[in-house]
Parts: sequence; structure tokens; C-alpha cells
Amino acid sequence: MPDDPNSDFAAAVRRAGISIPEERWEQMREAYHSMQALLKVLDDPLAYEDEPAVLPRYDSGAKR
Amino acid sequence: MSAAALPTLAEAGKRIAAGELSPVALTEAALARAEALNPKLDAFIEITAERARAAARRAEREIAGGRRRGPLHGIPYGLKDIYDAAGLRTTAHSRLLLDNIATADAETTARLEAAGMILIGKLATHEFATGGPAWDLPFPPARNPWNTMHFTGGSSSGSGAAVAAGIVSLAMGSDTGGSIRLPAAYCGTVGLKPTYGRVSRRGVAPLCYSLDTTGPLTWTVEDAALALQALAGHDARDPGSADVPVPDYRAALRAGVRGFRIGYCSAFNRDGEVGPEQIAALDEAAQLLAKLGAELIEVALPPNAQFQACARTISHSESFAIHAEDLRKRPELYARVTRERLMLGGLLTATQYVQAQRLRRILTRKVDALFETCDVLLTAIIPGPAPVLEETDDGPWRRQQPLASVFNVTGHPALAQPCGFAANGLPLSVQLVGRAFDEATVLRVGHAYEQAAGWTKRRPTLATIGA
Repeated sequence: MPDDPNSDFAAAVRRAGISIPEERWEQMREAYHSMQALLKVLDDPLAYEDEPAVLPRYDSGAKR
Repeated sequence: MSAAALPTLAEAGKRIAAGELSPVALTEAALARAEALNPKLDAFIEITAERARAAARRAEREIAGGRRRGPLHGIPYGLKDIYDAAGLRTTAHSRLLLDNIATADAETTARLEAAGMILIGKLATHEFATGGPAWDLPFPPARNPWNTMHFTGGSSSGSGAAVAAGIVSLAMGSDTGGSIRLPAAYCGTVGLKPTYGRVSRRGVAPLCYSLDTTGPLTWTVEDAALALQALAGHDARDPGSADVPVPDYRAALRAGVRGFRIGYCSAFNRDGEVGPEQIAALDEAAQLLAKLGAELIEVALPPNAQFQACARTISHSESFAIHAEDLRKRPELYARVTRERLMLGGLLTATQYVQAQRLRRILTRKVDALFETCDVLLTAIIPGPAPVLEETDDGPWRRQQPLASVFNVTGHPALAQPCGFAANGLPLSVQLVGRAFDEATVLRVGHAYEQAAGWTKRRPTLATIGA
């Protein structure tokens, strides 16, 4: 993903094939980033007892 | 028009069986109340008076001829306008479906019709059961009968308003992230989200394949049991339907709660921005159940943030999959709030969706494990009384983390019912949650609480409705 948060959003909009009017762009960009912030928890490593089918993440402390 | 609300399903059924109440008279009362109150409430998109009158006459003939079908025969009901009823429009409150005439009944509609119920109209919803109250749609948003300046909750907004106003004693809703329980809570009715798979969704406009449930809004818990009895059961033509035996939901309804263990999720309630009036009402509800003989146990749900990440990823992704074509080709036909919230789903990735489904399985297992130490969970369903309608969040991203979608993620049955009133006179609500497919226990606990608490005796009046 690009480092620029606006181009990250623009890329996601292009990939979705939708059009966002200029006057709503900023509100939608903010909504997108709020959503991404909430979803960060999905990246949390899963414990082996919760999900045996998980690759260990040596950089994040996940242990078997 | 009579100032009185329609009788409950149980009461009407008894009086019809005893020959004391005529289905025709009951239907006329419901229609008169709908015509009189709808200009204030906007609960109905369409009132189907002639169809209802014909059905009422038919019911009356059948019952008089000794062919009473059961406890719901001859009683009026309403359908959220995402349910198909053959020959009627299903608009989903949207400009996109203004000409959409259903060619067959939804499975749930068919079951209620087979039970002899009388459809009096199609009810307002948030557009496609998502979005929020909007004024750029072909129909206005429904208003709360306790105070018409306030929000009904959604998305089954007309269903909550119609039951609270006593126009019908049963209205069907759908619940993907709380859409039965939230309008029930804000409008002071009972709302039952059955276990995922317990009631068919065939013929009901989808919002999210793996979270959608259908179920009843009623005035009492006993009525929810009566409705579920008619609605529950396997439907081989709904891929999400479960082939699980249906018990008699009223068999143990009055057996009380002595010996039951109630898992009180107080930390979850306090984590969820729940206000002091609602917290106090939940505490009192828990204490009343303890006085009735239940044992209170403090239990901890996983963090709400995990549930919200799952619910929003899955719901937004699947909703976008359903609406992608229209959002790309004719986005202007949606209300702005609907369009923007649906569009967010297109910005998610497959990776996020897969991770959400994996976390969902883990969360479901953790909630299942709580039922090894308790029979029912008691949680908040709303943070406080209904907000002012014009002040509801209409942005593309809801700031507040909802409490309701937790049990859409896990699929457990959940009941919202009144547990008091705020200082401004608006209802407060408690949520009871049971083991998967154990609606009977949830209803039993809910009925015991309802009878002891007595909140159902207080109803909106013609004055609060402004009629």
C-alpha cells in the first residue's frame, strides 16, 4: 500500500469501481480510515490454542 | 378510533377461540388505528386494507365453521417491507425497488398466512435494512410512538413503531447487526433475534448472507413465543436454514427462573458507552431475577472491539457484494447515507474478510464456553433512551460501537425487552441471550422478568403520538 493515506484510499476506491463525489470525498476518506483503525484488531496474532492452523509470527511473540 | 391498543396475540387468540372477538372487528380496529396514527408515525409504507378485510372475512368463516387453525388465526400482523407477500410491492424502502411486485410469499409470510394471520400492511425500514433514517427516500422514516421527535431505532423501524403504538401485536423484523432488537429497545417492545438458521430468510431481501436473521417484534414475551412457534423450522430452500427440532416454546414459559444461572456481563456494559440510567435499569433487572430465584454470576465477554471488527468487516463486505452492481451503475438512486455505508464494503480486502471469519469462529467458541457456567447472559442492548431523530448519526461511518451485533457474530438467540424508563419517559431495554437454538430458555427467563417487573402495562398514548 502507498504511504500517503489519501492515495491508499484512492486506490481502494478505484479497485471497488465506485465513484465518490468530490464534496463527499473527505468524509468518505475519514470513514475509510476510521474503519481501518477498528479493523487493526484482525491483524492481532492468534494463540495456538485458539487457532492451531496459524503460522507462528516470530516478530510478534506468538507462541505454540 | 379506540384509544386502546390492540390486544396481545395471546389475549386475542383466547377471545377469538371463545367467540368473544371477531377477526373482522379486530382487523377493522387495526386498520382504523393504522389510518389514524400513520400520519404521525410513518410506520407503514402501504396499508393493505382490502386484502386484510377479505382475509378477515375468510378467517371468520373458517373459525365459525369449526376450522380454527390455531392461536394466531384471525389476528392482524405487519411485515417489514423487505418481506415478500405475493401480489404486493416489496420496496425495501428504496427507489430502486419501487416497481418490485412479489410473485410469491416469503417462507415466513407463508407460515404466518398458513397460521391464519391477516396482513394489514408493509412497514417502513431503513433502506435495504441498512443505512439509517433518511429524508431523501420515497418514504419518510418512522417515528417513535413514545415521542415522535425521537428515533425508533432500526432498521425494523416501522415494525417497532407499529407494535409500540398498538396497531398490530406482531410485526416481522430482520436482524443483521441489531435491527430487530434496537427498534424493540427504543420503542419499548419485545424483539427476538432467533438463532442464526432457526427461521427462514427465503423471500426476504438480503443484507448479509452470513449474519441475516428474521424474527418477530411483539408487545409481550409470550407473544414472541407464539410467533416463533409459527415461524421456526427448517427450510431446505434457504441455504442458511438449520434442520434442528422445534420445541414447544410455551411449554415451560411459566416455569420460572429458580435455579437458573444468569451471566451478568457488567464489564461489557460499562465498556460499551452505556449511560447511567440504562446501567441502573440493567442492575435492577438482574437483581429482580435474583429475587425470583436465579443465581447471578459475573461473566466476561471478549472485548467488544473484536466483535465489532468481525461484524463490520463481514456485514460491509457481504452487503457490498449484494449491491456492487447498483452502486457502480446507479448510485444516485440510493439515499446518501445508505450509499456511503454500503460503499465502504467495497474498500475492504479479501484478507480482512477471511481474518474476520476466523476470529468469528473463535469468538463464537468463547461465548459458547460461557454457557457452561450459566444458562442465560444478561447484557445491555442500547446505551440509553432513543436519541432525537434529526440528530442520529448520518455519516458514512457510525462513531458509536454498537452493542447488538455481538450476537449476530456468534449466532446466539437474543431477546430485547423493556426494563424501565428514562427520566424523559423513553423506554430502556435489557438483552437476554441463550445457547444456540435454546430460544425456549431465553423466553422463559424473559417472561418471568416481564411478569414480575410489569413494564408492559405502560404504553404510548394518543398524546405521546400526537394524535
